Amino acid sequence: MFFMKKLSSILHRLRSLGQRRTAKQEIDEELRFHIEQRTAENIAAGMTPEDAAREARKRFGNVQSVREECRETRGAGFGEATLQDIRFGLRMLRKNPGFTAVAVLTLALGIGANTAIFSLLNAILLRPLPLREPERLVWISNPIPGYGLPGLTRRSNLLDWRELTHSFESLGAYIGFADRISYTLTGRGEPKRLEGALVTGSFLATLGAAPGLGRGFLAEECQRNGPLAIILTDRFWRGQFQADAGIVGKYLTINNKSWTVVGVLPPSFDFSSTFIPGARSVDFLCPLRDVPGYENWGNMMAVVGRLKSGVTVAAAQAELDVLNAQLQKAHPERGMFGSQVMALRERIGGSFRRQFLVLAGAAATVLLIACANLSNLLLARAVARRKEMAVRVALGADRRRLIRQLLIESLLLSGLGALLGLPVAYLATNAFAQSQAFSIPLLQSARVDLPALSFTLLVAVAAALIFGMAPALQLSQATPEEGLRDAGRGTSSGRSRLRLRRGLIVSEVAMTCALLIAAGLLMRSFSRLLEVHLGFRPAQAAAWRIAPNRAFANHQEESAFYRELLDRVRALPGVESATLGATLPLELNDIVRVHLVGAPSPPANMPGIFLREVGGIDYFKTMGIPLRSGRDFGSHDAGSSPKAIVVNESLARTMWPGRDAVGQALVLEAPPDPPVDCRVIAVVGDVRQSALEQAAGPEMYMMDWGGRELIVRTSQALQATVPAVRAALREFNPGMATDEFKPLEQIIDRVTSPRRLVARLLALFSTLALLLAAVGIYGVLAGSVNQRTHEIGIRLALGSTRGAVMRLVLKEGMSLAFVGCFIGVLGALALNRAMQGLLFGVSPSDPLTIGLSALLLLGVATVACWLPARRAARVDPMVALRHE
Amino acid sequence: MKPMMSTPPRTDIAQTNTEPMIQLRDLEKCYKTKAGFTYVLRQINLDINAGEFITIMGPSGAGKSTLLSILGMYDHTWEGEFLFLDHPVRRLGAKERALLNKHYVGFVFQQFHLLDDLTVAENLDIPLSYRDIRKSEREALVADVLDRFNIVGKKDLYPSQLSGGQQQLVAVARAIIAKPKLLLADEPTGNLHTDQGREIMELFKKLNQEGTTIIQVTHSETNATYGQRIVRLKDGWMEK
Ligand SMILES: Nc1ncnc2c1ncn2[C@@H]1O[C@H](COP(=O)(O)OP(=O)(O)OP(=O)(O)O)[C@@H](O)[C@H]1O
Ligand SMILES: [Mg+2]
Repeated sequence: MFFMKKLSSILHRLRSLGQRRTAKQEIDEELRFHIEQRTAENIAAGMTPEDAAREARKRFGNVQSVREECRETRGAGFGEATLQDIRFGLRMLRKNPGFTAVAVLTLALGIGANTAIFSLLNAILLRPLPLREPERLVWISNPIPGYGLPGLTRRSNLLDWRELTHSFESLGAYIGFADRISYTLTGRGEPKRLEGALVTGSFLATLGAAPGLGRGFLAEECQRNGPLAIILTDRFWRGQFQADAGIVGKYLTINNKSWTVVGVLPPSFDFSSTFIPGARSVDFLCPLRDVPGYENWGNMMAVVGRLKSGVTVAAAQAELDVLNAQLQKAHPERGMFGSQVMALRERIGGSFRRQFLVLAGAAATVLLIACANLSNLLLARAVARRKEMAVRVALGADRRRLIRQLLIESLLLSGLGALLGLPVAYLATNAFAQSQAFSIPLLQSARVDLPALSFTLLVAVAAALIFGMAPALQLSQATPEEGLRDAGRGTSSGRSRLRLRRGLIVSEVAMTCALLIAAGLLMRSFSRLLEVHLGFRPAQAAAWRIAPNRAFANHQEESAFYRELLDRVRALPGVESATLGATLPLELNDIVRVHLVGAPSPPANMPGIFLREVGGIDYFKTMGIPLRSGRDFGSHDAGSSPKAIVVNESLARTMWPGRDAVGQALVLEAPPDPPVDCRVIAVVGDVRQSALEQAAGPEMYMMDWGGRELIVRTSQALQATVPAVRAALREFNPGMATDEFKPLEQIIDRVTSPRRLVARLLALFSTLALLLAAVGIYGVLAGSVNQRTHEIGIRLALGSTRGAVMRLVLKEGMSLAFVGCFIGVLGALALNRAMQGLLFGVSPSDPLTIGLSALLLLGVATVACWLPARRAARVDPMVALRHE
Repeated sequence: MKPMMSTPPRTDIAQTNTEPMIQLRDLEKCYKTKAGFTYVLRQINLDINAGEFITIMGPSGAGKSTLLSILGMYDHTWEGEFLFLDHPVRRLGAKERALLNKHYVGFVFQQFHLLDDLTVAENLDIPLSYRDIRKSEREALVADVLDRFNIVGKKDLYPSQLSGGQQQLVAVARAIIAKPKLLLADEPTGNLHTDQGREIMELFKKLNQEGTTIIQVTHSETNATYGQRIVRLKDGWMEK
């Protein structure tokens, strides 16, 4: 391609600039040669050697002293000459305020976008975790679904790993369902629900995250009847206690018990955004007071490990694989399990690598397009500046000096752009970091910090070189002979300049096209995702996080409490139905295994089954899950035996293909507890459980009174009902925190938030690109029309119609747009592999998206071409001809 | 450059050095136009010794400016031979030509060619700064020249804010500021009042006496009298 050839020749010239001996050295050598020759001639003519040399030196001047003088002044001259160039550059920028404003603004957007994306990418992917020797930290997940939470490990396995492996310095864990335990802080104003994370005593030590204030947990605090201790997170400490250092050693009343605050986590270690992004942020850590009974919870430990130094992930993996096989044989009661070791940094953020690389690529593309535009503007101005350069050369400027001067002007532009872009980047980065809307790990730690500033500097310099180099090289080629004669305007170089400018337009259109297609594909994926059949109706329904904050004497009392609560809410005006649940769809759900009566183990290909605990009647009605056959849970199903269960169609199909599932029996495994007999009372529709992208798997529902989520469906606007529900809850149980309420639609927002972020940013970038490309096309065409006013005047004078003139200009611009578009489509098709993993429900070569993107681009290009074309058509032939 | 300025006046060169500074042998220059080749200079044979003050005269279009820009080594598309201080200019590359020019030549352009975006003082400073001269020294030189040309009051103005004659003064000042050994001046007094023109000529005379070789183009017979020799051009041919 033309542009590439040009680029490589530029690069070649750049290299040779550095290598070539200075012209000064060359001329010195040459002069010396002449002096020597002359001396020899003089001697031959009969002079004494001294006279001969003196005469020769006289003729050619004292080269040696010239050289020394040059060397002496160069050091001082460089900085000073640079200052002079800067001063002149600033003056040139001031002199062309329109150009400067456009250039600085585009650069500000381009550089700002790149800095912002870098700040996010750096936080999510690059920056080492703020922990001691973070490269030795690993995450150990359980790839085999068993009883408990997916991906997690049961307590006994962790204990055995700790005992029997040699790869790890230490192992620690937090409890995956910690958010299901309710904590209420009282004694400090309104009762406040807190989020606590249960961690093993070794968790913080394993991570190497020492509390910033106070101390870690003591061994006795991890024992069953040991003292109650908590460590506050930095955020909670600042928010609730105004960063009062005196809090350490004080007591807090949580769940009506008194806990000692033993420490505060350092601000660098944000537990929530590291491990559970998007969830409600954790207020304190408390030690898991390890009791054998926890074994009954099944898989619940999210395990982190610190490798001994020198041990690789693969070695640890191999050791665990061998150990797990032995454990499984020795302890069949633990069910099936495994382990998968990966670097902790990879686990945290690694899954977002592709998204953010695409974003970074898009931001870089926008900047490249901006650079192409600026290059074009500078090349256009170069025509006007040729004379200036010619005069400078005539006055003794060498090429390097001119290039330096021109590059300094470019650097000033990009420097100003960076200065203006930084606040943009700063605001954008902070907005993302402070937003709780995106469940992306470590996003909250994104900052425009020193690395980001260095990156900005780098980008600014790179941008200046990219957009400034071609114009600088071209302008510095000025020779006195072509520039000093006013009439002399080299037509051939003018043509090649035009070719370069057209090449730039084609490439920026191509880049824009590829970007538009990428953005289009992601946006279509996103809208496809929103069209997914969820299986429940999130609209007009909301969930309250409730915690009674009281003890119940027995199960009856507890049931009665919840029954009464539901009755009260249900009686409120505007409430259509209400129910209780342990968890919500698309949040962390339990997984269980089942088998048919008489078939002692589940079918081999049977995946884990999502188990949802329903806490009241009307669950399916409230959630909007369609009942396919059978009946809804009734109050009497709470303690029934065999346990009444509802299954989804998927499970019914797998277990009883071609038969009615209602009335069938099932055995629920709950190792190490004995299995539970169940009977199917209804079949309901499938609900997406773990991710919108994943089709629903087998699901089952059980009912018992109670739950942490009060789910309310309203018949009127949701917000209108909120105060009434809160008031009812508070009246019913004054100790209950009622501030946490979330529309079910928010759940969808949360799980789609990373995709939304990427799609929106990409849409933003491609819009910017489109705008820049339009400006670029417009600029080149307007310039070309200006240059051709005379020609157009002649054409009109010779009888051309205005329509024909307009077509002429349109053709010039649109041919560039078409070629660029074509190349862009090819480029997008070639790059589709990078996009594949990010798309949902749309093929990377989706003809509709590609077609629409190209159409949009060509439409915008038409407008950009039309304006100069119209101007061309309005040329007054008489004026145009007179002025030349 | 400094050593050139600090070395003693070079009147001695003119005396001791009998070999010419500039030798032109059968120099021809033609432009390729749509109509074909147009010769602008024909068979120019000319020797100019160091220390001479030469006037080139001739009607408009005779090729005077063309010859001057060849002598200034700005133009290299010509035939024939041109030795500059024994350097075969034809065989020099663009860089060497530029360096020779930078070392030896000061040029007053017919169209002045002041840099529009630089002030008068900065325009004067440019040749010095391209010759890597220290800032303090440059400032002194610029002040000196401003004073000599009586344009101190204009030093912070831009060329567009000057009259034609004032621009010409600046152009002349810029040509001599770096103390060139060879001064090429293309109608340096065309826009000036006679008194000012005479002052410039007196300055040239003084510079010449100090050793500067001068070649001027002029239409004025009075100005021509300052020189020692007149070369007449007509339609590209040298008369005589
Ligand atoms: N770029 C060019 N292409 C073709 N012919 C040219 C070009 N530049 C100059 N000429 C021709 O060369 C001839 C000599 O021009 P030159 O500028 O040397 O004249 P001059 O003697 O300086 O005239 P004046 O006294 O008006 O300044 C003119 O006939 C001119 O038309
Ligand atoms: Mg002339």
